[in-house]
Amino acid sequence: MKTIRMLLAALFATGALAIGATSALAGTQATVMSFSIPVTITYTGLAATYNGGTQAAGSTFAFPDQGPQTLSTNGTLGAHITVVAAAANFVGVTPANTIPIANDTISVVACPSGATCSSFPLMVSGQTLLNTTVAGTWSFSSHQSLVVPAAQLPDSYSLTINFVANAN
Amino acid sequence: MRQAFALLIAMAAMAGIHLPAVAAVPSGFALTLAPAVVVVPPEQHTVEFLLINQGTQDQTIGVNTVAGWETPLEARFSLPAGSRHVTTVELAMPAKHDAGDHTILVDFSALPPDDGSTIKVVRTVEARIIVATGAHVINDLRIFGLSAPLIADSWDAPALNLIVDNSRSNVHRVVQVGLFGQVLLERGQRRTLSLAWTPHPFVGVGTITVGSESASTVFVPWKLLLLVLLLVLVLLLIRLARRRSGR
Repeated sequence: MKTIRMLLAALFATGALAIGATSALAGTQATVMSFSIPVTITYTGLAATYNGGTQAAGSTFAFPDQGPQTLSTNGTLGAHITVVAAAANFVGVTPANTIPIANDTISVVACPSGATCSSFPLMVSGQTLLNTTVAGTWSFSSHQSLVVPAAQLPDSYSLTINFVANAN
Repeated sequence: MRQAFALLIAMAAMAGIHLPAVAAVPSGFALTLAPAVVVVPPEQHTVEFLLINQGTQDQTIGVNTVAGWETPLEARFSLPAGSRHVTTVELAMPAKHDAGDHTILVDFSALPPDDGSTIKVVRTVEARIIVATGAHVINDLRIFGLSAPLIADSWDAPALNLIVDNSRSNVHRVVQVGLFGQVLLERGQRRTLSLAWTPHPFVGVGTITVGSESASTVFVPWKLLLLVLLLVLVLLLIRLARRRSGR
């Protein structure tokens, strides 16, 4: 028992000496490094423009699927993507030629696990295409199909759409 | 010459709706925003946002705000591929305003080129600034309407629904709602939360409780039972048919 006590005392003394020596020799100074990580969102993979080629009046066609897109957040409440059409119509080079955006339906090709997805005609008020409720990364592609009215006049039509990624 | 002219006429007659070019152009687009949600006190007059272009294409970022309390110091800026940029939004509280929270949305949009494409895509990451002005705070969050189906197959994940209602409050709340996880409800917001119930008891009554709300579902492998019943029926029919043919 006495031997153990002596051994412990020796160990304690050695440790204290070592700490003291290190401090004296190095002249250490504590430096606190700090940074914060806020709720972050990343949106990738969506092309700036895409095209529908040449289509016949009275037909229904699909735009090339857009993806893979990814939506990532570290926010514990997840994130969502809202799709907002910038105008009520596709407009031709001749501005009088229009196709209502309600003829254009958007959806998610295969809704990723853990997300909820919607399919809807485009609207200027915006609709949620994909929603998640936890932190993570979701990969998906969007699909759009347009019904061209039978009496649609020949022209080159275009539309601006806003895809908005937002943390929940 | 006459043939060429006829061909042109025929082409013009056959002309349909033209939506130029076919192939989608890969964007190399990857835009990161931080903070995406920030709660600030009324005495804070600036908020800084970090934008990172992790894509392979240079971007021009447009900054847009909706309410009148905020002014972005930059309306647009260049964000070359692989670069980062810190931009500031100034906040100016009006002398008179409601008590509680006020939400401001700030959009950072990668603007599309004007190349005559059918669809031009504005790709936006949106930040939400919640200005917590305090004063007479009303905090009246209600959680109710937990629902689950009465009966479900053992291999199914039945839908659970719950209503969280913050419409009577004038401040945001971040609440932990049992299995539904953490939920942010802004001032005046009401949401229906949905969840696929898994894992759950394989057979028997499963009960889920969220706060004072509870709902129960009876789990039965009824699809399997139906299959077994069908098999038994088929075997009986075969046996009956054999007996008849044996006579």
